[in-house]
Amino acid sequence: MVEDFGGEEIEKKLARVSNRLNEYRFDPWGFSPESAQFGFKFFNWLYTYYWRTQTYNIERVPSGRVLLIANHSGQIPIDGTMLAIAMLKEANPPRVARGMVERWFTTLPLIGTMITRHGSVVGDPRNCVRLLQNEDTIMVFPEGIRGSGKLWKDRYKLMEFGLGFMRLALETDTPIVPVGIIGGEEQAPSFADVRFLAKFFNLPYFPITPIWPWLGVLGMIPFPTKYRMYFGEPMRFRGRAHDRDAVIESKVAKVRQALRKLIDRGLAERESIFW
Amino acid sequence: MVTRKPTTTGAARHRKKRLLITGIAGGLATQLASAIPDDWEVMGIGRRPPAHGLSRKIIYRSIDITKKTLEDLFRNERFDAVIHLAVANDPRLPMIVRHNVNVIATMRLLDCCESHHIPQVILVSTSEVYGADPTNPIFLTEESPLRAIQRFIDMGDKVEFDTYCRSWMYRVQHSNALLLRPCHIVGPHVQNFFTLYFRNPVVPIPLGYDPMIQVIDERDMVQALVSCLKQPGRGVYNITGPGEIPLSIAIKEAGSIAVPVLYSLASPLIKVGWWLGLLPFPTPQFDFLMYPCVIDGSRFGHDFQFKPHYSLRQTIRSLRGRRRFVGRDEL
Repeated sequence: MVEDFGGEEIEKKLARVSNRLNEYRFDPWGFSPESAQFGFKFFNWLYTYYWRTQTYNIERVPSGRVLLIANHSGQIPIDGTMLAIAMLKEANPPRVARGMVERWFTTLPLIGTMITRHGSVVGDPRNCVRLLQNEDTIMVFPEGIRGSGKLWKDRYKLMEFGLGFMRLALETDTPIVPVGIIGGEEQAPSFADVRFLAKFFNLPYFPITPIWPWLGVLGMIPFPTKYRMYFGEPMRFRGRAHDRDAVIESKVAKVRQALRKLIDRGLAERESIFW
Repeated sequence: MVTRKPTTTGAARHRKKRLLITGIAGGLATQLASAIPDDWEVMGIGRRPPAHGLSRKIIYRSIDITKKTLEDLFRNERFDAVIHLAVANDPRLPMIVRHNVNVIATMRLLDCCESHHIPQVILVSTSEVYGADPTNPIFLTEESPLRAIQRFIDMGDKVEFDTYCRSWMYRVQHSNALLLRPCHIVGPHVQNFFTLYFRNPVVPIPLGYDPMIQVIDERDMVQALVSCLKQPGRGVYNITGPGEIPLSIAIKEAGSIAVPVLYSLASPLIKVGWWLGLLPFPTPQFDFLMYPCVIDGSRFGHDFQFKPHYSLRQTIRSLRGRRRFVGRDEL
């Protein structure tokens, strides 16, 4: 059934990605287009019919290595998945955007393997440098869990940014493209973060949404908000990668400002959360 | 000038260089001995003679490197290079044996090399000393910490071997010493954890894990060692083969059947199997089947112009059709 909804297109695009594959069609990080196509097809269906994702100015993403810097929201990382689908489906040339995952993800059975097959890697700066040297595309959410776990009252507020991505960009001379993602905040509005439950389940946060945890597993399903992604102009930075934090922070602030503008534009243009 | 007869110094220059290979009975050592260029004279030592036929002449001496005869050998013979391949690799050997061979005997061998001013020493460690760990970045460089013993204390002898060799290299500056850390060497003649594993017709894999692994064909490893001999150098080098491949595909290509087992349930059974001698590897070795230990061999490739000749497919398939359960050897 998934085949009928743009599956063929995904296959064609995956055949065009430039990742260096060996004779068994794997790259050194474990990405495999053949294994990844099922996941990509499934999320492509959701991208098109569930979240009806719309991109703006995706042509601004340059070919070659690039860091996509986006705002993070929505309790579960649907924004990253949607961005990855957009980069495969709508960017030119199509590419597999690499997600940087938490280290503990790789210790999980099945899930760890599944995400590596789709191109994600452990968020280690040494991995990032290699990928960028290979002209790969990397997605970074510099707010990290501070962004994804924020409450309804803080929606579309930018939390504190990590500095790592800027040091990477400087070290590898990589352009940065800010991506404002609209729609993620409303997919799972959280009214409280229950610290002791988070600690008990060893989770970064434990949200209370209108349906979670009241409906059990069903409560995890995010709402079908409309996703919009606004791509900014590529930004290039010069300087020393291992400079003092204050110097890096001033550069990060420029990216943050650009991202803020994209989000504000998106919120101003949006007439409804759901269409 | 061209027709002038060779002088005495010229004759001395034309004498054959002499190479000592320790642990000559091992599969890799035997193949290496056959591949050494003709301008070298090869002496192989070990408790047992080479396991299979050699395509060139070598001098074999039955010497146990854990015994005093090792010092006598260096007093009476002159060597231009030493390749140290006498390692106790088999995890079924007790630690006391492995430590005596891998660490104590190596220390004595290196003492001999130091006091007799051996100009070239090639030491073979393993990439396993980095340890398989979920937080490992893909492509560990030579500077990465050796974390094997964090999760697997039984790797202590290998880590200590590596650490001792490095400290020796930096102390003894008059010798060109190379410390090599190859990825898993596979082929019909070598024996290590991975070849033992792949030779089983049915192998357990931890359910839900499928790390990328690296293999190098034993013939490529021989070529890498020969290029080290031809081009003396100093330093620590990772050596990689033709690429990275998921464990599950490697098992399939080697002609075995992978049975996924729930690791938390299976580990007590594996422990019992190991104690009873039914399984050739202990539980912590399972780390290498769960987490990546992928190394970066580009420095060696660049400095020694080394490129593996055998493809990933050829390398993995060389394990097919060898189903015997090899006894304790390599010593």
